[in-house]
Amino acid sequence: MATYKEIQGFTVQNLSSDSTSEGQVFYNTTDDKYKLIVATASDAWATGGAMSTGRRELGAANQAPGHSAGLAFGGYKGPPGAVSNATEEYNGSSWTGGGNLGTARQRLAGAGIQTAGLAFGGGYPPTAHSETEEYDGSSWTAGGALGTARGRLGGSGLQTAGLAFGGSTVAEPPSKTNATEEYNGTAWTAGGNLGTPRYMLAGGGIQTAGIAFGGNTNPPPGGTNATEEYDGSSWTAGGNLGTARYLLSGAGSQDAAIAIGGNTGSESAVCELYDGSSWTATASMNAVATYAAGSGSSNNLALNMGGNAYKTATEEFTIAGTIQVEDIDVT
Amino acid sequence: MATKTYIVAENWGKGFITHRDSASFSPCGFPANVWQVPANNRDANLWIAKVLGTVKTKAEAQALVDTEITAAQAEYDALTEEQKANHPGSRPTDITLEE
Repeated sequence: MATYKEIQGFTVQNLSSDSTSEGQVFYNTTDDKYKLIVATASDAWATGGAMSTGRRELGAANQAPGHSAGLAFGGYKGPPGAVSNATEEYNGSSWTGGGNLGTARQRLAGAGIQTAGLAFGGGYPPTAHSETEEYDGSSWTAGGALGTARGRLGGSGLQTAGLAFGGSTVAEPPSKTNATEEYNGTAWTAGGNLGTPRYMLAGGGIQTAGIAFGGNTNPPPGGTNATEEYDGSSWTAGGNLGTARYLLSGAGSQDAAIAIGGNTGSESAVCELYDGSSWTATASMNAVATYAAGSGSSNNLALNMGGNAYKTATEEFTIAGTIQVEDIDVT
Repeated sequence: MATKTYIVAENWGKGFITHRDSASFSPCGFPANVWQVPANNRDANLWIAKVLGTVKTKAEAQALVDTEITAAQAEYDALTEEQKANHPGSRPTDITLEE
């Protein structure tokens, strides 16, 4: 059999870290693996490492970039079911435990990144949480409380410039809110109200360029396709989702967002990408997802984790044309 | 002629479905670790071998999915009305697998 050198004219390089040259085959001496650098041919979801704590209604560091720096926290674990304070950090292949939240809770929102995360709100009727906690990569400390306690809210932005919007306050049927609040690293102050009050929504972006989409406007019951964009003081209507839904996940930025799964009448795996003005359908997840959490600073690389039925699953989204490292099986 | 193949395989996480797998043949997951892939598809067949999938007939796969969903529906139905109101959209719906 011909050797690689005989075919290519050169040998496979030994590298201590991954190459970034598209098309290169190399041996990573650190990982002890042969690898290939390829550009993804089309938008696609892949399975990622499983979380240790299966849960739904969890929070995530919404702006954690890429696949290799995710942060998941809180939620409702089970069975048999209990509110969780567990935090887990993702490195692109597996999850490891981080410091526990000070206040265990479900239906919370998250912002920031893995080493500077923000958790806020949450709760289950009749309790709604206003607590905010800040993560430094190892432990959580208390921050300023939300002015409007609520769960099932949207969250985005960074630890020192967070954004909370919409959600449900105490009563059932849900007292949906359009309240928006901005965090400065110490305290929350009121921002402009959402045009469409809703809960079970998703979002992305930063405090001065946020985006909210989907959610439940009950009453009337059911999902909305409404998208709104925040400029740091007020919300304006954006392009509608192609598929109205609630209990979805979201990530990305105001001009590069991703809507993930949700309930469209039943549990769905449908995903859409936003370009700053309109949504277009992209690859569906490998399995349906509701009550999950998403992260990603752009829609080119995103994570979705957990979900209904106490899922441990993680899925990784990659947009077409993204340079990726693939392991090569050598037998 | 069947256009879908059903298998049972446990999702072990990273690498179970790669981006290339997903883009190539769009595996679709269902309850009970049931996965649907296109029939007579080379890449899908290679993936089945990789994940050590056990091929099931559509009827067998449907029965596995039904059992899991029925159990989950019973769990949901046992909730109080207040709890149900707090979990809209979480009662698992019946799934009919394609031929």
